[in-house]
Amino acid sequence: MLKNFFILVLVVVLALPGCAMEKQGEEKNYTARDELLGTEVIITVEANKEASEACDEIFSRIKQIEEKMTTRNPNSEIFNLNANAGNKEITLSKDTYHVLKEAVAFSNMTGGAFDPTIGPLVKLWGFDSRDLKVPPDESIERKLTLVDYRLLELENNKETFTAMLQRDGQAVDLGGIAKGYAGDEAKRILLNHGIKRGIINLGGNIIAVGTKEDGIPWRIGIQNPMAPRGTFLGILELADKAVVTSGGYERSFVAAGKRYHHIIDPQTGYPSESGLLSVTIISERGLVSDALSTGVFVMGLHKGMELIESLKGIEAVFVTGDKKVFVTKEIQDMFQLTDSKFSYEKHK
Amino acid sequence: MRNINKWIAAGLVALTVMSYIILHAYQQNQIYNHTKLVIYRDGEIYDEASLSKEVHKEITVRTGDHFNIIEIKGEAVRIKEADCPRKICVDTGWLNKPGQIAVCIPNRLKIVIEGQSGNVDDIAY
Amino acid sequence: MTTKRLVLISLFVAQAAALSIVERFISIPVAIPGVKLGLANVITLLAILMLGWKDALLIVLLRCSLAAMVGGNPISFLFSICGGLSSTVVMAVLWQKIGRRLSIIIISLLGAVAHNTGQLLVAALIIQDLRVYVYLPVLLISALITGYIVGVITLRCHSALKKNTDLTAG
Repeated sequence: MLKNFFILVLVVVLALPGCAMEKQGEEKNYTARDELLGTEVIITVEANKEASEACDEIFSRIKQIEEKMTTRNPNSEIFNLNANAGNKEITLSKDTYHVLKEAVAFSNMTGGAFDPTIGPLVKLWGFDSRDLKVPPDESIERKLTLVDYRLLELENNKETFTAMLQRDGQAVDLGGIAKGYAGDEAKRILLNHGIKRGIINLGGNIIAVGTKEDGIPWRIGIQNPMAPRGTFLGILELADKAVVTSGGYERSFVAAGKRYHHIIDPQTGYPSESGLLSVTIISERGLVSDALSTGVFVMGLHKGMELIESLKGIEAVFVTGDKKVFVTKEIQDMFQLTDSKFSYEKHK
Repeated sequence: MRNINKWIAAGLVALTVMSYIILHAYQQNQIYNHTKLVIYRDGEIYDEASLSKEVHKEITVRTGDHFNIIEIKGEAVRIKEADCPRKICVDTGWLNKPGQIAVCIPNRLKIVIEGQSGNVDDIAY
Repeated sequence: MTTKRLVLISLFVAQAAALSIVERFISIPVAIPGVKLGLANVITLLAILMLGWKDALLIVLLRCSLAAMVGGNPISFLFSICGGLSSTVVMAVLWQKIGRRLSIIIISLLGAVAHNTGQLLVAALIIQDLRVYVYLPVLLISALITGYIVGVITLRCHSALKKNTDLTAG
């Protein structure tokens, strides 16, 4: 009697792993990835018959954006713009003009902390070519005179778009805004195909489209600037938002015992020392989040917080060098700190 | 309480099933969590690494005159080579779930996969 | 200590040691070196039933030491002893306190569970990490299986031996 009971029980127990496997087997997501814009682009959407087609279209579109806006390809519009600095105006396509116009708007908004004409400095430090070195002060001084977004002229004459950089040697680098724009385009294409839920990840720039199933908000982790990539220090619950983080930890080099990161302050010509380890901007558009994250990182906690609090529909998470996390009032209750090595400073 | 044997047997089975369910629930919660590898040498943290699909690297840990080579590939890790006598650590093979451990007792090395608390759909970095 | 008892104890020690050594070649899917099946518990249980807990304990100590001398190492000795003692204590107490009402198989099952949990605890201490609990489910399942097998074997052996020996202690 006991024997039979026992055998039955054993069978049940051994069947357990089988049950567990089944639960995992449900594949209700479609994922596609590609290497673009110098990073990995991963699109995850709810399984849908148009998913594959939509992703192909997205990758093509991003390739197109890259071709137009990269500084390295001689066929790109930005390359052309830079090559003709101080010389003559050149024609642009609508989207490049649009991105440049927005870039200038954000430069104004951030008081020059974000500046698309940062090209000469990026090149000087070697962040575009990986030939990283600390430039001598005089070189930096000289290049600083070329960094001024107000010298970028943009014209729209009945849908003919032209642009010109006034000084010889000036250069536009859209590194701080192009990925954001690409994300918005990707979302647009998904929606065009009737896909309403998913996540677009462009090298860490997150576009969360819609919500998860049943209206459950997406949970997006914020990278811990002091730990290996993939380790997060907090979680944000959100829907239909673009989340972009800027931080010195992403790219840096060490020279003579000092660390130099890639977010250069357009005012000083040196990597910004605003006291922030990272800032994350949450808004409706990738372009906005991207540009602001770069700018606000340079502005620092106080000026940055002031700016973001003044902007409706835009929120931010700041991580300071002394391991404190600050967020804008609106999202105070939507942020959850998960790493106790940091302290969450709530508004009083 | 007539047949105490049946009760005990049932209790043991329940215990086993529960332990399995609890472990699985814990691991399922963690699996989407961008796990990371923590390497302990002599009981102290020696290094950490993220286990994400793009990573493929090897870490050599030296303890005195001895060494272990740890390999990270895909979302898994293993001790690839070691100079210990019985190589049980190498035989352990690939680890990929939080809580899994491989130890090299002679070399006082321990590698653990750790998950993160709370789960996320993606991480902004 | 009669000669008969002495001989029986020696036989048990030898057999248990042999079982311990042989089962080294059977490995369970657990990344912790030293965790073993515990087949020698057949002997332990028989000893408890036929000789009493004191002699059973002696047999466990002797067979672990013997097995360790034959190609063992300090760590595996530690695992053997802890697993062996845990199961001996549990099974002896059960037999002493509850006795006949419990099926031999049940006693063996509980002994196996004690054996494996004991080993897991030792592992946790050795690698200074409580996270070994991830191996608890597989060890419990293994305990149920080996416990059952050990129980069945013990039952058979016991009924065969009872006929020829009159040393059965209560």
